[in-house]
Amino acid sequence: MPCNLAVSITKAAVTEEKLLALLVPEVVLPVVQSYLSQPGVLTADERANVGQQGNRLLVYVGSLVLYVEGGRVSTYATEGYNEVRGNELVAALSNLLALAADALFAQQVKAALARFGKVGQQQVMVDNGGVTQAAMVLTVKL
Amino acid sequence: MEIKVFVLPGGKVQIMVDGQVSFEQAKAITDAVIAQLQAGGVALSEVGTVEQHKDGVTHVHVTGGVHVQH
Repeated sequence: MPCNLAVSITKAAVTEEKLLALLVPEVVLPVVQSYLSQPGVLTADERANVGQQGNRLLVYVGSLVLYVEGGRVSTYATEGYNEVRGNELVAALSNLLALAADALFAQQVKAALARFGKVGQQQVMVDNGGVTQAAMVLTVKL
Repeated sequence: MEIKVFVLPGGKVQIMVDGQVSFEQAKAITDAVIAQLQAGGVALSEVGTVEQHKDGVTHVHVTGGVHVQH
């Protein structure tokens, strides 16, 4: 918004724990499945399968098993190809889950704001203290 | 009057109130927004003070958007 219009500014945040708590297995499973089905994510030799075991997901990619629990991704590192590929997949899925958590958080905020009226939303890039970030702007006119 | 909530990565938000309102009114609206977010399940644990924009508080700027100098 043009800066001459803002009257007040307030910053707030949820803890990382609360943010990651949004990533329940039932929500994460289809996100991970969809990601793994994208062209170029898996090599020609790899097949993937995702299953739920209690509060965690087991992600099978080729001979690797990745564990997704509480919004965190891990795998047992082994030497050679599996170690490199395992680290790649852990990084990729971690980034995916961070984006998913941000999207879920934005949905939660939007739903709460709806009490005040129609909520407009726009995806923007912002300068946050010198750091360029993607952000969702939710607008309510009173 | 308009409420803008910037939802940032990592569970952070910046709430801005603009329009023809006094700071006291903007503060009351902001408090109501925060209360509503909490009631709606957004578990805000770090809530800063409602700051008056003219005091030069740092905040996000939309990249490429209109930016009138403080």
